Amino acid sequence: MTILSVSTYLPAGDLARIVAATLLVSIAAPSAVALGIAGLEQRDTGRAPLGNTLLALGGGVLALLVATGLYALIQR
Amino acid sequence: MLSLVVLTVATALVFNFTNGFHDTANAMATTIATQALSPRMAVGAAAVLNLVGAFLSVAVAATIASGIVDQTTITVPVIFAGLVGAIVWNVVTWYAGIPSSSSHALVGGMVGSVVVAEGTAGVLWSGLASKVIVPALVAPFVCGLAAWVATRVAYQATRSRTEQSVRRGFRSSQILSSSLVALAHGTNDAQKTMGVIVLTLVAGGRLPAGSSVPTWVMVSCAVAVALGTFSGGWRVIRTLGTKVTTVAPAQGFSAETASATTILASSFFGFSLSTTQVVSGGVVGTGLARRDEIVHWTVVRRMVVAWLLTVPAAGLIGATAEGAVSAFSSATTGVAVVSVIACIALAVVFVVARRSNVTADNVLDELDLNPLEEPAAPALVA
Repeated sequence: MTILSVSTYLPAGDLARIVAATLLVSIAAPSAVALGIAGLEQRDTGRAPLGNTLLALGGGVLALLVATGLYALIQR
Repeated sequence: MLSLVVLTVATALVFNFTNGFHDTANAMATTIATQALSPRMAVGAAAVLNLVGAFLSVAVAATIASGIVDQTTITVPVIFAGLVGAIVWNVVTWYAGIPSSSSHALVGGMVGSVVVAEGTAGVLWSGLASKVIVPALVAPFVCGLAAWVATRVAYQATRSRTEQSVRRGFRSSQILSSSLVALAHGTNDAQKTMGVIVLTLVAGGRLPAGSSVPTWVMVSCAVAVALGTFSGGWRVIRTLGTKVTTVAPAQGFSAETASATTILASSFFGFSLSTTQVVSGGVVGTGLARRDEIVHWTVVRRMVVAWLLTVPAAGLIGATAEGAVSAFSSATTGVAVVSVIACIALAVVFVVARRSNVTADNVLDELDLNPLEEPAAPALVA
């Protein structure tokens, strides 16, 4: 009954999409930072090319997420 | 009528200022708690980002009152009384250090003043349910779940890394995630006040109905929210950053990322959420994700009680203010008298607050653990 009442004001499909988006970012963002951290450690141990690649990957994913967030902010 | 409009616009800007200082914690509490940024640097950055956010989009400058009260019959004194309700509740909860929703306070104040002025028929109750009640029920849980997942992923993905690297990586990334929350806050909350001012100008006959937001309104709202943010609501920052749970950099990043995503995804799909409730849910979620972490449920319970009380309490104050204004034969006199009384009441709260002043220098004094120390082996909930 409560779910029915809530869905009147917040469609279940939209809620599912919001939850899916937040969960996706919740996995992607910390993973991207972890990649960056691994890259930093690789650089510190003298493996600069691998470290830089990992850093670039992590930074790229974060940049993509931020760009998507800004797009959502401006386009709504 | 002009003086009435001027007083009400000024009151709206005061509300926007209180909104800024009350909600600084939303973006920066965990960043300050983990010392990713110094307290002053954090509120400075939040102020600039709130200022920028206010100009990013005017698409949602439709007032927060839209769909909640009948705007065709609302008058300037009623708007004023609603704002008084919101300001007083914001200041009272700031004094108590409770992260309550400024948007809900505004809605509550407006509802209270409209009920006194026009009766219950002046309130669109289904709008109240869709804009306040349902999002308030859903938002903290969605963000809490996201923060919980993000925290677990953060610790799992870095379990073979050194403490120092993990701390450095997440602390730097926190600056990015908290900036996004501050930007989203500026866009959301500055525009709500822009909407209230436009409504005042239309109701006062200074703008034709359906007008876009004048530039001076945009600038003044952006400056008010930025100044409020810069003044730093240290009491609320202390609660959210240190009293709900002890926040490590990975947790701060997780809570802020979850908050930013929840706010932005919801906005994209057309739902306006309370940033305060989202961020609070995120902080609790990240605390629950670590087995060795304590979530102080007494503090959480106080927050939830304040959330439940926000609309009725701000409504009661708004209704009282409207009753007082309408007791005078001249609305301008009534508004002026209520302004003076409200100023005295707020001054008393600020004077009392100074006895136990919380500032940038002592905001982290109650931390149980040195936040510079990341747990050696982060323990996750099994």
